[in-house]
Amino acid sequence: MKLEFALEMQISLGQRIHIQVADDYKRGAVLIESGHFVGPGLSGKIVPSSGGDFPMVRADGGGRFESQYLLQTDDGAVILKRSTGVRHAPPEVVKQLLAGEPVDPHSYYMRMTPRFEAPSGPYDWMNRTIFVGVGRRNPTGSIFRFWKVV
Amino acid sequence: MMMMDFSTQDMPSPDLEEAFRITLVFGATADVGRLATGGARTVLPVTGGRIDGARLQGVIVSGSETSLTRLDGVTTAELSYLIQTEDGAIVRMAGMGVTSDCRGTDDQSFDGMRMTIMFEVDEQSSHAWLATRAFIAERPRDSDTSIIMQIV
Repeated sequence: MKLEFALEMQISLGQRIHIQVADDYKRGAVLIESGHFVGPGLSGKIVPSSGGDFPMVRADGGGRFESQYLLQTDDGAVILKRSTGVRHAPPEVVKQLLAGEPVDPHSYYMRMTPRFEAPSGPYDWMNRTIFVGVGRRNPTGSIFRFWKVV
Repeated sequence: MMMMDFSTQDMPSPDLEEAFRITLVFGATADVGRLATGGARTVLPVTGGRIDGARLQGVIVSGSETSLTRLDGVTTAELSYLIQTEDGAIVRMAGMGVTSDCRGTDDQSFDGMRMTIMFEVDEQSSHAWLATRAFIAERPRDSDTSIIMQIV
């Protein structure tokens, strides 16, 4: 198995909501306002307001990501992206992240394993491929880079 | 196509490091059949096996691989295995798999199942680190052994 670069996404985040489900269980909702993506052989936009990231955030700031939203390629294909991921960071880095401060992206572990549902056609390889991603959270947005496993 | 300028973006690049090998013993396949919601559903019970790596050794207590095969030949699977480690801890390993049947095609890519994997473990346990990392795995067609790589 090796990794081959597939795409980069730049996302503007909208409203953030937290649901305190239980003392030890907080569900976040980070809605995606807009965004775009580009990589070898594909480019396009995030369908505005088509979803977001719904992380399970622990009291120590670690957690699991669960996200779902739609991509639309420049040639008109709509692709569903659903992702799980892990974030793990030292407590002081978590404080900065939660406060929305800029943080050195090398100071924490944030890895995603997205999967895609694409229509038959030029992007149907995405249905058969697993991906690995890294993310960088900035105060107003996120940058994700994804590699396909080949 | 124009590519973005990545030079100013300081991002970690992921890599893969072999972490474990898991060998499974499967029970009899149960076919649910062709679903009204699309695809054919199959459940493959896991009745035993072993997981071995530098940081984890144990036996597989139980588990299952629940697959949905669509008409385009792509199979997606939900995986769940229960591990008892050599020091007595219970660890749950779960993930998603995808298999593409490339036999008889010009596609020379991997023939088998590739998976994304995460672990659930008691946070006080010496194995707690497993839940702080993401993993991928692959198992060739007709093999019972998967190689699990940690995403670093």
